[in-house]
Amino acid sequence: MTDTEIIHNVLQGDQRAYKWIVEKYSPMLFRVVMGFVHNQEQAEELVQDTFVKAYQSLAAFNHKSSLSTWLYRIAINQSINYLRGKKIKHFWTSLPLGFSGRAAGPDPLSQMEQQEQSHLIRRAMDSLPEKQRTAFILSKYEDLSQKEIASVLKTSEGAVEQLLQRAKAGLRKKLGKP
Amino acid sequence: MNNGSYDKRVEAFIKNERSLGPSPFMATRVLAKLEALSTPGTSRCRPVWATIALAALLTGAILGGISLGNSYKAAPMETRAIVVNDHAMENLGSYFNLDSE
Repeated sequence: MTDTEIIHNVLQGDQRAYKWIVEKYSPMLFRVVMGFVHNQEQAEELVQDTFVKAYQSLAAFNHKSSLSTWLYRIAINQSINYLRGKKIKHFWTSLPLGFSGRAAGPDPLSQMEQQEQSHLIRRAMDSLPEKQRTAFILSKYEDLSQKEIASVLKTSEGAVEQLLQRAKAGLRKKLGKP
Repeated sequence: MNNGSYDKRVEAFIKNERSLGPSPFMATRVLAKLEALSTPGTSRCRPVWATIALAALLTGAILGGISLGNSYKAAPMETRAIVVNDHAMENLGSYFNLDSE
């Protein structure tokens, strides 16, 4: 059954059909939202809200873009709005399954160093301008092509290439500082 | 951190975050939330008419208070002078002026 058929069924009142969409698209939306919030619980909340919002706006989905592109847009907007609204500071400290936790060795010193390294990377990523960060996340967390990213961001492939280059340069610059 | 080291660190960080996945109960939670939203009486949103009624009630109360306040008129002062003969009144000053005793 195609996405279009599923959407048709959902719009006919078959709410259970929506489960198929959630199961299919939740992993990819989760990865993208994780790139923004770096927190598993918060990412789950935002993905859940994304699907609720998508369900409520499903009638307005015009099939001009693919369902995945449309869902990406909603998830990105949800994440950016969440970060703008909350303006969370030091949210990385609450990360229960962070980079440091798994990659750390038994040595407490190396564990601390890796924790610090994760903090620096998160801070550098979060300080990127919104468009650069979004393009970077879609590229690195979802392996989307420049064409697909351009479709999500409603821009040209050339603009996406520039955004990615600037994002990488920005990260290098920020992480290059001691 | 040089560029090579930076790339490795960032890639490792992203790889770790990518390895996490959503809860297997995500679909169930979403459907439960949708059902809760579609069930009458469970909506957390206040209907528009209730908001308007509440605003009207508060506005009425405030305007009523203002008009009541404006309608108050103080009782007119007696223009007639009160003549009090205090000749027979006790001089209380003599009780406080103890030094003179």
